[in-house]
Amino acid sequence: MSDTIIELRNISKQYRNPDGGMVDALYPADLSIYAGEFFTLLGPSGCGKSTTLRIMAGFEAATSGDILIKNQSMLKVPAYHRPVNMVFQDYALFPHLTIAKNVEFGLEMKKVPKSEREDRVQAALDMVQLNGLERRKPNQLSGGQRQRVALARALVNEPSVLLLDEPLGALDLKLRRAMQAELKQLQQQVGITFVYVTHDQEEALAMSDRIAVMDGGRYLQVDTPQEIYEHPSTRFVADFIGETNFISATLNSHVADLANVQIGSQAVGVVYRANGIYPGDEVTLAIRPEKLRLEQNANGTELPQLTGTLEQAMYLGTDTRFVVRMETGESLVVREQNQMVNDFRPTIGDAVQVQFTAEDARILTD
Amino acid sequence: MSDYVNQVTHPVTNSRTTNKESAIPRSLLGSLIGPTWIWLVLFMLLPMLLMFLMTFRTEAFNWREWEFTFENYRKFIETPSYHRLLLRSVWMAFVVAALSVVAAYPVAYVVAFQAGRWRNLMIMLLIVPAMSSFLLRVLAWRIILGSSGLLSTVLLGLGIIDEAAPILLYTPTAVIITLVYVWLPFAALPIAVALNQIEPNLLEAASDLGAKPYATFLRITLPLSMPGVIAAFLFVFIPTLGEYVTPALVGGPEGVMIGNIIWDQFSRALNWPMGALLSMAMLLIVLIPAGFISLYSKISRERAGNYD
Repeated sequence: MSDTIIELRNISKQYRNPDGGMVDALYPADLSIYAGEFFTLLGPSGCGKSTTLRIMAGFEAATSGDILIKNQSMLKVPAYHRPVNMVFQDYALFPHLTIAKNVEFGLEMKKVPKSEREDRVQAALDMVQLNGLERRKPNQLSGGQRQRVALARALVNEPSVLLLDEPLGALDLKLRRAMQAELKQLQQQVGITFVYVTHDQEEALAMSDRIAVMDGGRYLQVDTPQEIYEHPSTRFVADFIGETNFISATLNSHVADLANVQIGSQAVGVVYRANGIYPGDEVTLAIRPEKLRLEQNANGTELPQLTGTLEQAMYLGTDTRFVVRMETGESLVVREQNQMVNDFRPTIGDAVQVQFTAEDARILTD
Repeated sequence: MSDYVNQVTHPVTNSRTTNKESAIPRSLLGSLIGPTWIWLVLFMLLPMLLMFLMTFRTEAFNWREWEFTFENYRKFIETPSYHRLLLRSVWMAFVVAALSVVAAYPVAYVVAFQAGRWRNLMIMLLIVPAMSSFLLRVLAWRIILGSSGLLSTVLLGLGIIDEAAPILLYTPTAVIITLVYVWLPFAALPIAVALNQIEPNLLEAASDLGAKPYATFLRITLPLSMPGVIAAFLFVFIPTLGEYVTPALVGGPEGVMIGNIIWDQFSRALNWPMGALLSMAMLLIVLIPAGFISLYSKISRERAGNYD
């Protein structure tokens, strides 16, 4: 892939608790972010995603490890000398300065000549469609407008990397969706690397080139949205991103990349991608609801299938959500699109077969 | 001014409540505000009016013989020593207030940003001296500033000065030093409150945008703490202007302030009309800056709008 622009080497962070104990906010890990990509740190609150971002910005010092931006160590470089800019969660606009002065601030600090400053401030405000509001104060703007000012204030400095700390968190849902598309477009337009922090998995999937899923101070999986969705590496990732069925199973055998697992009284074949598990081990199968299909009877197919009873059916417009209780007592969620008119439509209480393809089930070992 | 102080300590509630319709019915509101008005009239407006009337009299105690005269005003206008005294008092109050604010700012900064869990203790330590007698604290400075006092002994011992110290006690400087000491904690508190209300991420944002620490301070921290600085200045300026105990104890002849003359007029010369006139003159001097600041804060609030 392209050049690495930010590299975390063995970075970790520990905090001291008020009671004196140490808390691990980040466990030592490496992370590389490539030039020009839209990289997202995704995870629940307290997972370490904001800490990672703040270490990049220089607001916090790492306990161990090194951070390189454009191949230069940033350990001894204070925030005000780093080639990155940040968009804060609540925007952090200077309340006593006008919009124009807010946007100009970074250029003024870098002693850019006055005439050039004015042009660049205008260009930045044009880019976020805020021209005409130069002389307002931040508290005279709506949330969405403030968000744009924060973007303009950061982008006007032409940073190597733009850090965004849940920038859409304070906006209502509709505005959020609109801003997502706009941000993504903006990123492609300016070609700057974006490092984006969010806890919203939909947002992460929609906008990112790559995602790092984090939990408890660890990077669980760093990959493209598609890989993370289709092939989650851990149970947490599978659960956090989208909806997933987890099925308890026991490994019977595996040959090459095909495994045979036992689910209750049924044995099914799935693709084997895990390492370090042996016949007899307890595993979990993860499979997305939309990868499952309901059939009336076994109809002699070679596909893996599980027998159960239909417990619930919810019509959701584009698709229908079924809940099937398996013989083992676990339930499965099945989502089927409502496109085929003559599709099989079971009623509640019917015995059904749940079919899937071997590649779509993933063996998890945690 | 009270409006301004209010804004310093409760900026959010203030801006939120001003625009809201009151939920209390008008009649009930009247009966609630009523006592306040009675109190104001009895203890504020009436005494002021009496004092104002006093300035037109020649005789303080005989109310039956009422003689309306501008004699006191004429005397006041024709006596340059009164003007000098007023000017000097304003100047000293200004210097004391300015020095108190400058000295209190670092203290407030530490309390607001660096004290961490020691903050409450530090605020306590600031306030504790104020619980001892005011007189005692002023008298203590006589011991420090006296010609064979602590300061001159230490300076002499260190060899910084050769002879007994240049006389500090009984000078305007002594008054200024003593009053700055007395007012410092009171100046520190409103500044600390204002600093405390600055969102930490604003300082991070400034740093992120390339501002070195001193630039962040000058461009963000200081302007955002100005309401506290102005409040602190007024907290010190107003009582200092009327000060008479400190000048009497450590000021000497050159350190006399308008408050001492007012005190003399009322207690020794028994010239209440002149004392009243000087008091009114002092009041006017206090009202001018307070009025300006109140107007300024009103304008800046209106300019900021109420979109929040």
